Amino acid sequence: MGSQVLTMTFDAETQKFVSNVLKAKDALEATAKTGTDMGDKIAAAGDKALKATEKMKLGSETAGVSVASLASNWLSMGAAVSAAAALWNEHLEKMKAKADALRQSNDSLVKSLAPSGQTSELPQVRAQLGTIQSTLFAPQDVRDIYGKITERGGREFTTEEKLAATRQAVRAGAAGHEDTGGFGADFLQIQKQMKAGGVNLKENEIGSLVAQLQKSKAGGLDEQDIRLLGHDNDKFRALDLIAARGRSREAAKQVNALESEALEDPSAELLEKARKHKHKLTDEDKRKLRLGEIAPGDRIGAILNDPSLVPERQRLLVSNLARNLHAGEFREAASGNALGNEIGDVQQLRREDAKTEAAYRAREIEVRGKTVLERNNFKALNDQNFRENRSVENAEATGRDPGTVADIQATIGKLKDSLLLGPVVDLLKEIAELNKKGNGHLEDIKSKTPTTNSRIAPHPLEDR
Amino acid sequence: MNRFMYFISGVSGCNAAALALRGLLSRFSDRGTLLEHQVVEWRDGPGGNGCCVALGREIPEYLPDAQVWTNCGSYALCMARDMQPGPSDLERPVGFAGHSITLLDGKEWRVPMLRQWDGVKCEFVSSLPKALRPAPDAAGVVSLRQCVIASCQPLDALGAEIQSAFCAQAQWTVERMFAAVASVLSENYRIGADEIAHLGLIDQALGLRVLGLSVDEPTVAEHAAMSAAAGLHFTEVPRG
Repeated sequence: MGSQVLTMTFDAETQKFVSNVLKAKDALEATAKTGTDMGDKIAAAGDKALKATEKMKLGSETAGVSVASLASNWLSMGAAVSAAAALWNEHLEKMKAKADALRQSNDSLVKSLAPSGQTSELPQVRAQLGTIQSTLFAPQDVRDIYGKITERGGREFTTEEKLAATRQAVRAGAAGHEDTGGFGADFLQIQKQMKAGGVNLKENEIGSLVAQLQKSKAGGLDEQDIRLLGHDNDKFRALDLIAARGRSREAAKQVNALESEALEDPSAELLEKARKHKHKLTDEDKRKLRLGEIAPGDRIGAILNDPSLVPERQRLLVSNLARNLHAGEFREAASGNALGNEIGDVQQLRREDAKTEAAYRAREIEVRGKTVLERNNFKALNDQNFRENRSVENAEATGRDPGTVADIQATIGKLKDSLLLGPVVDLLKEIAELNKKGNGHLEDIKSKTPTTNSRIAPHPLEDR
Repeated sequence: MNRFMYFISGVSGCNAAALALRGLLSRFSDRGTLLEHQVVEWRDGPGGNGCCVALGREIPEYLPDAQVWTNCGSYALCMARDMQPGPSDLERPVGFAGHSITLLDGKEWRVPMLRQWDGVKCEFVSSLPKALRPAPDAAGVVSLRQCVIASCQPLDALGAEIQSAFCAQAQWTVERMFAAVASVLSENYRIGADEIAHLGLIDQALGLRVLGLSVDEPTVAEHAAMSAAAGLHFTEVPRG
């Protein structure tokens, strides 16, 4: 027999209450557990969301950097495109201007041809004009020219590139095409010359010719050049010849420029006088001048150290002396780069001090003129006295007329050399008057022969 | 003073160890203090030669006609036939508060309250003496918590067991119920299951009632009645 079993329970109401409470608590606990679970899940989800957010943030930052970089690139590209567009617009404006100029030129040509009756060329001109107008803004041409501009990158065009660009420019109406360094304009000019001269050259031959001429800086062609091209089968040999001739012309231009500059040298006249009268340099002077050992006590040093001459003037004197002297040794020594540099320096200084120079020169010429006048007057009087004395002596010794026409003519010639004819003429007039009033021998001058004693006595200051 | 006498046959004397060996020490001690008692050798006791142990100063005597003896196995239990001990005779000087109940002897017994109903939290809480004890939490952090004192922890375990049984409407055997009642009553009185049986204090209903009182059933019933009066009804939330 087993043990009796009883149920542990309160009274019915209490038990029901407790059961309900317990159920409620269970429910609450379940709810709480559910809430906890949910909380855990939410927390886990939150963690995941947080991690996801962090990842998103990181991704966003990365993406932001990428986007910023991309935007920066786009901005750079945009700037480049804008710059290119601006360049293109600028070029387009030039093209328009060139086209307008060409159009006007063609109009002028048409007008000029019309009165002269050369109407046969009118259709061609009009056709050319129409072609230019129709192809002025052809997209492919625009792209080609634009491509040439953007690809250039600062380097020089090759001849072929210039030729191609010129061809494009001609087609587009931009005859000048400045981006080719004037190549297009030269090309058109020479092409026109060739056509006018009846010479038929290919484009590449003209392009090569233009390139060589540009290198030689000789400018355009002359008629001989065109004849060379027209008659020589080897066009490129002809081009070489033309380029050589161009270089010769260029050199000649430079020589002429130097010569004209030398002739325009305001001190040339003065130096000429100085050289005639007192600047006959000895070999020692030349040596010193060459070696730069001019001392104040030297004769040339006296000139160079003349306090009335400004230093620039002194340098000018030296350079001009060197240029006007003909002694080979000195010329070699004084010429060349040093002389060129010195001339350049003097020219620069002379430009800066032009007024002072001019004023000084005027004053110097005036002073020297007076000196020479007085000297010539003295010399004339001296000669007259000498001649009269010699004439008297000769007459006394030989019994002949002392004054001869040859003597007087020689005197006049010498006086003419002094470049001061006015006073000399006056002096001669006075002499004539004296002769008239004196012994009356002037009438017989033309019939007399000159004597060997008719030379003018040297000036006291002149180097003997 | 009405008292129980305990006869242990075959021995001439008895000490605390011998009492403890027979499960009788709690009848002669209070909270670890051995009470005054008398041990008398009887040459002609109920089981022959042995000794009688009884509380108090009075020397116990073997009076078979005036006494009711019950053989309890390792000892024999005796009380006066016309003066059986009551709550006032057996009550410990220091006991646990609780609800009182009139048992079958017609006397009112105070049942120690092991659990108390918390009307706010709607749950049972331990009403046994507590003290601060260091207790580590799940994270290993040690903090001081109010815990049932060590000497009461077996009783607290019993309270939890009874509470769970009522809440779960568990099936207990009568012996288990009776032993639980004896354990509960022995906290306030110097009695055990043998004494309860000898006195004829409880039947099944009273036994359940005693256990119910030990978990504060009156307060729960009052709470239930108040809730019912207030019209509060539990509605089960559908799970799902």
